[in-house]
Amino acid sequence: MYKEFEPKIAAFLCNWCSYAGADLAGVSRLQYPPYTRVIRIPCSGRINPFYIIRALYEGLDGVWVSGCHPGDCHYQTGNYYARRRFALIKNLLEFIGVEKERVQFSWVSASEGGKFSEVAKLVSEDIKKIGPAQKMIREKRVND
Amino acid sequence: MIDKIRKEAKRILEEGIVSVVIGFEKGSIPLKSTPVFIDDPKETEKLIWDKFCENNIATYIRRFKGTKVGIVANGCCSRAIVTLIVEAQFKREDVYIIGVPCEGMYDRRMMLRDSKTEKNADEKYLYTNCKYCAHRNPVIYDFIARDKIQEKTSQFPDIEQMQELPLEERWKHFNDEVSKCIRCYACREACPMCYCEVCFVDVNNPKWLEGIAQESDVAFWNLGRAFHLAGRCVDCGACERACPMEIKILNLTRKLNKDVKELYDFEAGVDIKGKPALGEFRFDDKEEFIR
Amino acid sequence: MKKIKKEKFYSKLNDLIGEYRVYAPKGDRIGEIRNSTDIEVQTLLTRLSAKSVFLPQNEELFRWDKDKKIKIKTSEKKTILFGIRPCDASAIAALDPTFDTKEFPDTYYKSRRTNTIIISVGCNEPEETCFCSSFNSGPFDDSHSDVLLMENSTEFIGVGKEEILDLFGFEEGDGKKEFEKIKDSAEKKVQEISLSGIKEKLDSVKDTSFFKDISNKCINCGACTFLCPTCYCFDIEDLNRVDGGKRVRNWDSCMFKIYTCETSGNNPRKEEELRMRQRIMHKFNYYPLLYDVFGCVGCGRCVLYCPVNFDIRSAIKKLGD
Repeated sequence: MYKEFEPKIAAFLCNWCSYAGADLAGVSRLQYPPYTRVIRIPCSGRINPFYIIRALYEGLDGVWVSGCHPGDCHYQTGNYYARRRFALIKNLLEFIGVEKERVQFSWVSASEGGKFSEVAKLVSEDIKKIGPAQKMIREKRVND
Repeated sequence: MIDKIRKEAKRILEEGIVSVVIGFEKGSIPLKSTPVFIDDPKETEKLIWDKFCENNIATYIRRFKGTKVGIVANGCCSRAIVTLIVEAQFKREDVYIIGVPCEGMYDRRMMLRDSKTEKNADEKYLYTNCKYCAHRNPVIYDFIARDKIQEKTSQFPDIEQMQELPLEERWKHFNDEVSKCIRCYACREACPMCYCEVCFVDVNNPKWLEGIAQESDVAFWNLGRAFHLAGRCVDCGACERACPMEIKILNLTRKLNKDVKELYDFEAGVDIKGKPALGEFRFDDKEEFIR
Repeated sequence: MKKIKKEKFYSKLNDLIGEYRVYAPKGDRIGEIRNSTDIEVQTLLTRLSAKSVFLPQNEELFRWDKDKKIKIKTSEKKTILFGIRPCDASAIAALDPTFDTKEFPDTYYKSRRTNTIIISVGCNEPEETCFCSSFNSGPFDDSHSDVLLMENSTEFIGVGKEEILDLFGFEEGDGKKEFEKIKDSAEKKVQEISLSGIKEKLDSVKDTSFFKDISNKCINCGACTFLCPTCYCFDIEDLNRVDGGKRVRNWDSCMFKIYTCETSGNNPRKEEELRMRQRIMHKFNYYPLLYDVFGCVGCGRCVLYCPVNFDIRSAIKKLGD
């Protein structure tokens, strides 16, 4: 029996906006695919681009980073710095041949439960379409 | 021009302005010039400038803490000095810069393979980043060895060409190059901007990557180093020239330089009063890729 | 002198693949070949030397699984090492005293080293950076190879162990004159630096200012140590996996700043000149003291590939003064 591909997607959500938005989506009983594994971070500015590379290195099929809208950052300017880093790491990964759908970003505020579930659906669909990650994955098992 | 460099180096040593002059002298193998450290005014005759002065000697300045050094610097070397000053590695007063407008370095490995000598090699042998260099004149200097030469505009045809390739071909190019990596870290040591006390590959907690030669680890190392130089790389090419396996590291660093220039209109090491590209932001930075 | 046509030699080599593991130059390194067509000679010396056959860059020492069972990994197959240069062969002979000792033999090195046939090919055109004659060796030195070949356009002329020459089908021929002629001209091209009394000279260096002078330009990149056929420093790493883990041995370099960094944070060789002193003392003083052989074979890879052209030959000459 052919088993449907169930991607593993790491979702880095900033504590003050996107994580609260995800919470609201849950409380409002909004449906979205169960493939996202949430990692709560204080601010999108906390994202070291190496977390994204490391996620692909561990074999995750997708990475989704979400923060507050520009101007609304709880720490004033964190997401502005993050925006520059995101643009550069996304371009670099796409340049070396990693599918551009693997690493995605969004701004989701605490009141946007609906947007959160929408983006979760879109990201999951994108990753399902491009299939499991096959590049830059470290050895998983010692007895292969 | 070389006489002017030697004369000025001699003068600053004799007058005690600097304690040592860092420059280039003739190497011990064909088509190679090697860094030299001169503290005796009489030995300034050793200084040369030719098409094989390919290392970035700004890496050595930090070894001479507490004393003023003189340095023979071309465009990319002076940009490295500016970047290091912006990052507070030393002060402007700690260096005396003998500026040299530079027309580029020749790829000595390619020349040796084609059995060329200095006399019969032509511009075909210029390194890629020298061919497209937009800062051939030193950006700061205390003395300039000859008249400034004309600058070209910044361009990245080599990267643009690679961007046109389909996805799987780009991956194959990248993977074929980095799979040669033996993790000797020559690239890191040759780069003036890689001065971290503990590099991310040596950090134990968190352990970012492993020491074995897996596809994933060599990719992480090369990507990671390129990313840590985003907005700081001055495109001197010292990394690629130091690599014993001849990996095309410039493909990664130049891609980031291109993005930083196009997205944020920033080039490292040009403005001594500026801030690094990833250390600031603008309200209207591009974000069309963010949902 | 015995000789053989190249096609015949390679055809016999192909026959032996399977029974033997055959290593030969593959571009920039020495690798295992499945067919003689895999052999690729780009430069006189491969960038990575033959030490990677016996001391691989990453070697698994053992692995464990969830039930804590430990499996030690060694390889027991017979090996042929073909196409390396006499300096590489001398280097392996120099590594043997460290790893193949009577009291504490290194299981992994030893399992690869025993049952190995070394067929080296002499250097008709040595590089400018070669200085192997400084070590009682030369471009056609056969003292550390089972068989030494001289290559011309169609044939191999061989000297060495009779049983191996017979195994490949070498036959009596008139190669002696050609061999001697090429050998003479090659030996003239190799630079010989004087090593007389070098150990004593190094012992007499009282402070580090000599080493500071010469090591100013060294950027401690480690390229020389990784390409050097006699350098053997390594680091042990434990890797965790989903179903267990493994312990590996990776190449390390004494030129790295953190090579001697201790857990407390203290680093006895923090300055560049101390690391350069260690490298030169190890190769020309400590190693000959312990094993009566220099830790250098004069292959010249470090000179050729050093990004800043640090030349160990100039350092030795300067020491002589």
